Amino acid sequence: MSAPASARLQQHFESLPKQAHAARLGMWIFLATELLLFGGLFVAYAAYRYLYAAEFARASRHLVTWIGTTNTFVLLTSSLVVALAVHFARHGRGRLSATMLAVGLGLGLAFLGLKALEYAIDVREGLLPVRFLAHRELSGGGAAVFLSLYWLMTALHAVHVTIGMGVLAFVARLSWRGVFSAEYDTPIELGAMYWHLVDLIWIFLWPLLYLVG
Amino acid sequence: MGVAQQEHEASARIGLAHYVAAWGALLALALASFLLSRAGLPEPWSLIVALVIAAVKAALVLLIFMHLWAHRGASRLALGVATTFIVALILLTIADLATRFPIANPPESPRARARLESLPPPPWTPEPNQEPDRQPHYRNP
Repeated sequence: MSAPASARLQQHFESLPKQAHAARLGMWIFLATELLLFGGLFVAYAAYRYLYAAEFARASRHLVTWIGTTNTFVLLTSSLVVALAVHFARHGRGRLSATMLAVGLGLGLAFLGLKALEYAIDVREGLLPVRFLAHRELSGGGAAVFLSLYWLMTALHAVHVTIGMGVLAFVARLSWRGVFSAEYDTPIELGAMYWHLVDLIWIFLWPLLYLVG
Repeated sequence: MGVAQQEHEASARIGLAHYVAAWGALLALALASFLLSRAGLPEPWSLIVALVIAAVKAALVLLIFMHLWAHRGASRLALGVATTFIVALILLTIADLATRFPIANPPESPRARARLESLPPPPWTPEPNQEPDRQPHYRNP
């Protein structure tokens, strides 16, 4: 059995709730910086969509929409599962929580697998960024910019999904050992927040990249 | 009772039913977004509809899954500030592009192309060079 929650209290905090509050605030600030990271790419997208609206729509129609849409449902469900994991951890059901996190991890893996399949299809069809664009119907600056943004944004997002999966795996192991309770659930809550951010970013990426035309 | 304690108790009130209901709403909104994109709305509206639905989905994820509904104090501020500045950055960049002289835009973009094609033809066109091998004249050789 792990140490009681009170053992987690650091000496510079008055109480465990205050420590948890500080941890959550720190996580929100970090998530805000992650949003700003993607924000730069969204600004580039906005600028070039404004300039090349028709080319963006045409290029978007050539993306593999069924994979993008399936991935949306996969990520939304994984968010639910991870939120449930936090809920169960708070109620002291560590093993159930770890199982839910494992399901979330499986869904994340499904997301990455589908993404890899989609990238393979894109490469085969010649939907490549910048001057590598070699599609039989698409050509020109607007389409190349759209595809560059598509590759950059989805690749950066996939890196974040991978990092999120690592975080979830780490937290799942702690949860399985029964570390979490109503008083101490900080690691699993913060890890879940990172995963939800990954889902949040995809919520915006999906309509802007796949549903344009 | 401090902020931290309030937060802790408010977090506990978000329960199983809330998560599942939020998930259902998210799936429904995703489906709506997909169907509306296929409905062929005219251009500014299709983007606005997509962004509004995405914003509602984002709000659901933030408030319920990430417990922002329960979190108090500066946590909400951090997110609000980041969002405000991203929106400002996007709007100001687009305003920059929208108020440029058209040919200051990339040459292939529709705005620049429209301007270039709307120009009247030049008053004279230079004669084609009849003797391409001839050396050019210089005043002071």
